[in-house]
Amino acid sequence: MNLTLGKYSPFNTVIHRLDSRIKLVSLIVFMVSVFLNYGSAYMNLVVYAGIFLILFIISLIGHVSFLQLFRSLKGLWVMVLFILILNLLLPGKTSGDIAFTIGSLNVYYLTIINVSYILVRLILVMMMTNVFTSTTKPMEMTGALEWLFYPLKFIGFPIHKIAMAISLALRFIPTLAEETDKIMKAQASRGVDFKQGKFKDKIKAIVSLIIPLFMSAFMTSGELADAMEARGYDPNAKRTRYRAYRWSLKDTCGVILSALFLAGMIVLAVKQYDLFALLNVSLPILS
Amino acid sequence: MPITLKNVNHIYDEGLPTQRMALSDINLIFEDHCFTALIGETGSGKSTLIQHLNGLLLPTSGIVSVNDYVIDMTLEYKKKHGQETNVVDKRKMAKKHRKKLKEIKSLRKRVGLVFQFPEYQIFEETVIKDVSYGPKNFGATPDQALQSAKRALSLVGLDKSYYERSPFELSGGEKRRVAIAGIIALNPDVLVLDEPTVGLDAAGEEMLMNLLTDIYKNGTSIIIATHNMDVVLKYANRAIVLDQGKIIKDTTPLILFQNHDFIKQSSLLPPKVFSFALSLKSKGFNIDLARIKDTETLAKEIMRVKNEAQK
Repeated sequence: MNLTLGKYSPFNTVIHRLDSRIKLVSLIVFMVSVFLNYGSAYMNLVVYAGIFLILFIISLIGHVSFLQLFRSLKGLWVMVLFILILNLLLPGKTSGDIAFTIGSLNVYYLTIINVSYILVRLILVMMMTNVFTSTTKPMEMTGALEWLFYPLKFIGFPIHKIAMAISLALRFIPTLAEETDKIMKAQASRGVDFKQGKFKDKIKAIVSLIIPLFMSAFMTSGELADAMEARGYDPNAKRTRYRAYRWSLKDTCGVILSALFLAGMIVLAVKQYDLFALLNVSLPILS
Repeated sequence: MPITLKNVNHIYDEGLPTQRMALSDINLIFEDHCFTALIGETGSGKSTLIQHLNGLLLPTSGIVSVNDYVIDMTLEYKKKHGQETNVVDKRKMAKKHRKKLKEIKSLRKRVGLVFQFPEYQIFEETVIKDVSYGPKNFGATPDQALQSAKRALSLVGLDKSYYERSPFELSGGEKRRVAIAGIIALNPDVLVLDEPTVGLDAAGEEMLMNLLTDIYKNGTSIIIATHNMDVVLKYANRAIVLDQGKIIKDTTPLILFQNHDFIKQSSLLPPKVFSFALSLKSKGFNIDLARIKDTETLAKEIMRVKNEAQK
């Protein structure tokens, strides 16, 4: 079981030192860019490749383990299969040229392209979040979220409570991961094999992990709530910060760059420029 | 069943800024039928060391042998295995790797490991089901597993009335006994326990240690990692002191606690009964410290001194 994916890696790189708010804004910008449609399949491919390259460079600078990410992608095949089946069965998605047939079921090029889109988008989103969580401390992440949601405060949205809930959830990820590791080892001492064995045995192995983990998580949450109350925590009280965020020129530049990137991607998506047509490159039409 | 550790090193988070040497050049032999205590401050490497004894953790380098089986698969080996480029070699290595993992897994039946707060590993709906879960995993038939579970439960002092009860309804001490029974049911040759007495009341602690003594007397080796020096003095016949992943003392508990300078330097607290005996000695009582193991032996020693004085 991969427990290290997305865990904060304490390196001191430029990416780590960047303001968490900038990183959050960039993450949102990248996510929106990935989900836009840039016209032809080739154009989408070019954009995705560009985003992949940017993420790859950021990952290299930030010492984010790529290997770990790709190892965790092995588990995605179930999702791919599910999406493929869903796309095969969905009405309206079955048109164009047939790529191949399975029994009496026709698999169209369009279906394969759609599934590939979803898969590539999913991988890119996983990469982005992996970079963000590996280079940003959980508390900084919460600070960034609180900053992002700040305007909602004026319409009575309980941003502090939400931020506290998120920060507690994030704070306890490593604790839960440690607990998971401990329970897995304890069950391994009783002969449980989490990696090999029949499907039925694997289900039983997971049950032997999940029940103790839930019991421990509920107990910890109860104890934490008591401990917070014992120290006088009031969710409605006005709060201050130990480290106040100061807006600097770097932040303004970061936001402007992100906004420009997003604007460029939106223009590309709305205008549906075909780079290949502009360069007079003819490619077979996939439909 | 002897366990040997040869030049064992273990590094956590290798290659990260948080990299930490948990074990450094450990050379150790746990002889057959021993009652050994591993002591040292928190973070000294006790838990890491015991997890090497049944292959739950692989050494970064070095060799661990359990009886005649050598766990020569190190983390370095695993890394190399992942770097094989030749498909045929890779398949061969993967097959070898799976075989080794299977062999290491079978070791866990022979070296039973009870973690700290083992009650958190309980998950079945009844006590008997939970205790028989381990033997079933190691290939016992349902009937054999049931018999092993009954024997283990009777050893830990839980009678028939507990069999069909939910383990989650039991008290903390009873839950721990169920969890320990879950490992005893495997009938291991070596029983390793990480902080077995932590969180137990005095009665529970004594009951558990008496249980371990019985198991030891029946031929099973016992290895405990503990901070409880009274337990070390009373029950163990060997004490290994760890500090920052290194063995700094390997002797008998009596010799260890008589070495006042070492005890002071290593920031260990001597057992309460031993401290009391030392106070008596400093006040002129001719106490023989080598005879002190617990309150009973201390009382006998005081009587002996008293009788000698009367003569």
